[in-house]
Amino acid sequence: MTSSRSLRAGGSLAFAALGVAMLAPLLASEAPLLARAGGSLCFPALRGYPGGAWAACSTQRPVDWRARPLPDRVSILLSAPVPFGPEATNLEAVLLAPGRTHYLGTDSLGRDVLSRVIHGFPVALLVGALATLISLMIGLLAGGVAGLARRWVDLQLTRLMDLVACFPTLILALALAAAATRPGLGSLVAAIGLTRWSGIARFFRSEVLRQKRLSYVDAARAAGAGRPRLIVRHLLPNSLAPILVTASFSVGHAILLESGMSFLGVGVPPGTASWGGILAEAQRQITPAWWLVLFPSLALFLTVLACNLLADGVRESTDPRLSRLG
Amino acid sequence: MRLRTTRAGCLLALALLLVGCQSPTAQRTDSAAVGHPVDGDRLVIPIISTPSLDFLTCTDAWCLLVAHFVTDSLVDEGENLETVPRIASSWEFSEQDRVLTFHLREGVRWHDGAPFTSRDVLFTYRRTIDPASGARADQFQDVQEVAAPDDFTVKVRFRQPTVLALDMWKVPLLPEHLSEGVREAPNSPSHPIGTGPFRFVRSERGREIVLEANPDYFLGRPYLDGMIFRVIPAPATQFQALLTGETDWSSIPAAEWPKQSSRPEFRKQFQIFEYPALFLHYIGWNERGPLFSDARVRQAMTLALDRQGFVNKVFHGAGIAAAGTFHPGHFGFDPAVRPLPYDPEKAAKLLDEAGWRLTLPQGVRRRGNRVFRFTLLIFQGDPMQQQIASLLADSLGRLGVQMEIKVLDFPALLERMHRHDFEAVLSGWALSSNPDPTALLHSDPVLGPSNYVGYSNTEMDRLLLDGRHATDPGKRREIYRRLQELQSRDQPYTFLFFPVVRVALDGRFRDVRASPVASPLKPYPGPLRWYVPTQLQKRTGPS
Amino acid sequence: MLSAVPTLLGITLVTFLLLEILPGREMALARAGEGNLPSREMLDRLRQTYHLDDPVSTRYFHWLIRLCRWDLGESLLDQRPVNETLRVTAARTLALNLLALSLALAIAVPLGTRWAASAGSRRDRLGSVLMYLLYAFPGFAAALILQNLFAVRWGMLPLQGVTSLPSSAPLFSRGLDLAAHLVLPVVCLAYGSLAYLARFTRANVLEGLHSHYVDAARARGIGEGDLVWRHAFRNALVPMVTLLGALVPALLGGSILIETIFSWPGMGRLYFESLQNRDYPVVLALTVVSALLTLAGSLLADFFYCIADPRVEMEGGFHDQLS
Repeated sequence: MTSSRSLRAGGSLAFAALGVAMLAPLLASEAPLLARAGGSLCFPALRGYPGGAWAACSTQRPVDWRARPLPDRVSILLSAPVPFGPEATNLEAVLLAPGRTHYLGTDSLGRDVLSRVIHGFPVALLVGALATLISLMIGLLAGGVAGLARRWVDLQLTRLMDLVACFPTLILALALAAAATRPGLGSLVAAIGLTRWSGIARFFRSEVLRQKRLSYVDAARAAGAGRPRLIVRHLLPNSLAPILVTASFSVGHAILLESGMSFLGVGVPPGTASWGGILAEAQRQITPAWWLVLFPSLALFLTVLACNLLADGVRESTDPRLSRLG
Repeated sequence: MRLRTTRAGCLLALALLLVGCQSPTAQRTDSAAVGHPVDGDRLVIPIISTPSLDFLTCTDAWCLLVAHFVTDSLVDEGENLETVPRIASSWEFSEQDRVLTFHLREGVRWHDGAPFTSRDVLFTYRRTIDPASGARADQFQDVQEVAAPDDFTVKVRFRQPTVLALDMWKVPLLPEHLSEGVREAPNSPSHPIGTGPFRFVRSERGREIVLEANPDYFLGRPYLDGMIFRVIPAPATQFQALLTGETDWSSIPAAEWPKQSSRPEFRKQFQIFEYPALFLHYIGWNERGPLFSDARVRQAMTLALDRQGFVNKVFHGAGIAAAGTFHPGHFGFDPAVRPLPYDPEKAAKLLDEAGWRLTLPQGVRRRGNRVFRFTLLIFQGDPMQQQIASLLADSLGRLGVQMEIKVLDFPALLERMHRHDFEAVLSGWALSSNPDPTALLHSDPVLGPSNYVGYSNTEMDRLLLDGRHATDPGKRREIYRRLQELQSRDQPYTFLFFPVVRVALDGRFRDVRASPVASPLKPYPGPLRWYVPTQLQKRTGPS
Repeated sequence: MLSAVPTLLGITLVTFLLLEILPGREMALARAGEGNLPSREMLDRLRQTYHLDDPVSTRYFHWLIRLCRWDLGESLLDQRPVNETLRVTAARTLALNLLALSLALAIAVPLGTRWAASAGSRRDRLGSVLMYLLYAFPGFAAALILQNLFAVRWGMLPLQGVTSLPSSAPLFSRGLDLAAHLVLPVVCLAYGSLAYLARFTRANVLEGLHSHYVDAARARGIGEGDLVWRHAFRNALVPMVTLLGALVPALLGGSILIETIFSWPGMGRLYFESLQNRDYPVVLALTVVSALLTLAGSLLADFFYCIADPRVEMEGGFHDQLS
C-alpha cells in the first residue's frame, strides 16, 4: 500500500471515528434534536454535552422523553437519527435481532446496540488519546533527558525503561487498575498510560542520540541553548514524524487494551458504553446473539485499523527508505 | 437401608440387565425406578475455581460441597430440609430443651485409619469458637458448654433453648489427632482428611479435584467410584461441557432455558431439576448516612426497580421475587406478605414526601443543598449484578436520582463493607434452611454480624430474639409472620429475588431424588445412593 | 549482560511495591468468604503473622531472600506451594505460546519472503492488505467469533480446556484430543503475530533485495531465487531475532484473554484469578516470572543481534509497538 493511500484511508477512517465520537450525543439520544415546549423551541439533545444545560426545554418539570404520551404542550420536531440513549433500558425489547426499530438489535437489558456502539467511540478515543498523552509526556521527557544527559543518568533511565518494558502490558495494567483506590475512568487511563511510556521513551532516546550527532545541535548549543530548550525547540519538532507514528500506534494499542480490560470486567465502569463491555456481555450467552459480537468487533477493528493506517502512512511518507517499498 | 450389595447380587443384576429386563436404551428424565444398583462410574461436576480446602473456615459453595463428601457432620439435611442423622446415629433433648445429647456411631474411621470419637467433635467445636481460627462461630452463640462423657457421646448444654440447636451441628468435623498444637490447624488444607463417603485424592490447581469412594464408609461404599470437580470458570462454558459430555452436571443458564427446554433430545438425555435456591440477592442501603435513614426513601428505591420484570425478561424467569428474608421453603413463610410492586409513580411521590424535590434544568432531585447522588458498589465477578445495577441506574435516573456504579473485587468490597464505607451495595446471602434472620437484621453487631447496613429497629430486634427462642411451632409461626410484615413495611434492604436454579444431570445416573429447595447433590445421603447401570457407565478405570 | 542484574532487582522491587498498594490486603489474607467477615482480633493476629506492620523495606528484603532460594511461598487460596502451581501452569502457557509463535513463523516467513520477491504484484498487494486487516482485528473478539463458529455451531472442535479424555485413554487418542483442544487457542494467539511478522519479513527482505550487497551479487549474475533466499532472507533473519525476543511479553499478555475465553489453565488465567482473589504469593511469583521471561527473551535477542552484526547499536523501535 502506497503511503498516500495509507494516509488517505487512515485519515478518512480516523476522521469518521472522530466525527462519530464528537457527535455521539446528537447521533444517538432519546432527547430530540429539536423540540417545541410551551411555545418556544429548544434543543434537548445538546444537554449531552457539558455546559449544554441552556438547551433544555423550559417547562415546569423536567421532561422524560421516553414517556408516552409526552406531557402537554411538548412535541418532538426532529428526533436524533438513533432515537435511543445508550443506557436506556427497555425490558420489553430484550435481545432483539437487528430490525426496523433497532437497526443493530438490542442487548440483554433492551438497550439499543447501535446507540451503545456509537457512544463507545468517544469512550474509546478519549481513553486512547488521554492514555497516549500520558505515555507521551512521560516517555518523551524520559527519553529526551536520557539522550542528552550524562552517561550515568542515561544508564539509570535506560535501566528504568528496560525494567518497565519487561512487564507484559496487560499484566501491568491489570495490577495498576486493581491498585486504584478510586476505581473509575481516570484510574483506567492512568493505568494504561503508565504501562506504555517505556516504548516511547526508548524510541525517543535513540532519536535524540541520532540527532545529537547532527551539526545543528552543536550550533544551537554554541548559541547557548540549554537542554530543555534544545528538546522543545529543536529535537521534538525534528522528530515530529516518528513521534506521530508512535503516537498513532499507541492510541490503537491503548484502545485495544481498554477493550480487553473491559471484557475482563476491570475496565470502564458499567454505566459507560464500551465495546469490550458489550463483547463481555455477548460471551455470557451461550450462542451469542451475533449482533452483540459482530458490531462492536467491527467498530473496534475499524478504529484500530485507522490508527495503524495513519501511523504507517505518516511513516512511509516521511521515511525515504521505506517509500520505495510501497 | 443397606447400600452394600453382594457380589452375587451384582452378577444377578447384570444377568437381568443382559437378558433385557430393563431396556438398555431407556433414557429417562426421572429415575423413580431404582433397579439394582451396581458399582462403577464417576460423577464429574464443574466448579468455577479451585476453592480453599480449609473446611474450618471456608464459606464458599465449592469448599462446602467438597466438605460435604469428604467429611461428615453430626447431622445433615434430608430431601425436605428436615434434620437427618449422619455421624450421630440418634439424639435426644432433656432439661426443657436445654441439653442435647448425641449418640455417635461406633467403629467409624478417619480416612487415615485413626478411629473417630467424641473428642473429634469437641476439637471441632473448640477450634471453631477460637477467634484466632477465623471460623464463623456465631451459630454456637447459645452454647454454654460441650462435653464428651465417653467416646461416643456428646452432650451440649445451651444457655437457653434455641431453635438452632440441631442446625449448628451441620458443620464438617475435623480430626483431633492431626493437631499438633492448639493454635495450628494442620489438617493440611491441601490434603484434607475426613470420615466421609469419598476420600480426597488430589487437587490440581485450576484443573480439578478428585475424590474416590471410601470402601469403609459406615453406610457402605457409595456406588460411584469417585467424584471429580472440574474447574471451568465460565458458567456458559460449563453448560457446553455438559452438552459435549465432558461433565455430568451443570446449572442451565437462564439464557439457555427457553431453547433447551423445548428440545426433546435434551430432555431425553438429561434429568432436569428446578428449585429456588437458598440464596437471596439484595441491595443494602447504608442507613447510617443521610440518604437512606428514611424508610420512605428505601421504599421508593424498591418501588423504582422492576424486579419481577428483570427476573422474567432478563433472567428468563429464573427467580422468585422476594418480599423479605423468608424463602418459600422456609418454615413459617407467609405468602400473604407480597413483594412490593413496580410503581415508579409511587416512588416519585414518596421521594417528594421525604423532601427530595425535582429541580430544573437537569431534573435532579435535591433536598436543601444536597443532591440525591450516590454510588452503588457491586462485585466484579457476577455479570448479573452489573445488569441489575445498570437497570437500577436507568430507572432511578428517570426519577431524578443519580446513581453511579463502582465495581470492586471481592476483598476490596468486603473491606469497604466491613468499614461501613459505602452508600449502597449489591450483594447476596446464602440462607440456611433455618429461617431465623437474626444475623442479617439485628442491630447488635454480635448478634447481627451480617448487618453491614446498620439497620436498627427495636421492634425488629425484639421479634428476632423472640423467634429464636420460641420452641412452640405455633408461636414461632406467628412471630415469623410479624417479622415478614415488618420487613416489607420497613424495607431494611431492597430484597431482590431468590434465584431459581435449573440443573441438568446426565440421564445415566439412577436413584436421584429431587428436593424442593435444594440441589439433588445436597440432601444426605443423596448422591451416595446414585449409581449407573453397567452398560451405561462412561468413566471407568483409574481416575 | 551484567547490566541485567540491576534490572532483575528492579523487577522484584517494582513487583513488590505494586502489590503493596493493592487494597484489600487483610481481607484477602483472612480468606474471607461471603458473609464471613473476620473479627478485629483476627485481623490483628493476621497482621502479626504476616508482619504487615513491619516497614516495607524489611518485608521486601525478607521476600527477596526467599525468592533467591526460589521459595515462592504457598498460595493463600489452596495452600499449595506456588512453585508447583507455577511449574504446571507455566508449562501450559509456554506450550501454547511456543506453538503459536512457531505457527506464526512457519506461515509468516515464507509468505513475507515470497511477497517481497514479487513486490508490487497483485498477490503481494492483496497479501499486504490482508495482513493489515488481520493485524488490526482484536484477538479476543476473533476468539469469541471462532469459538462460537467452530465449537458451538458446528461442533468441530472442543470448546474449552486441555483434554476431554481421562488419563486411561490410549496415548494416541489423547494426543489427538490435546491437539484438537489446542487448535483454537493457538490460532487466536498466533494470527496477530503472524500478520506482523509477515509484514516485517517482507519489509526486511525487500530492503535486503535493494541493498548494495545484493545489487553487486545480481551484477555478478546470481539468480533471483538465490538472491531472495540466500542473501536477502539472511538479512531479514537478524532483525527477526530481535523481534522474537520482544514478542514474548506480547504473547504472555495476550494469553490472559485467550486463556480465559478457552478455559486454558495457564499462567495468564491464573494471574487474573489470583489478582482478583488477592492471592499475593501467586501474583508476586507470576509477575516476577513473566518479567524474567521477557527479560530473558530480549537479552537473548540482543545477544544474537550483537554477534550477528556488531556494528549495530541496540535501540528501541519496532518491537516496542507490539507489547
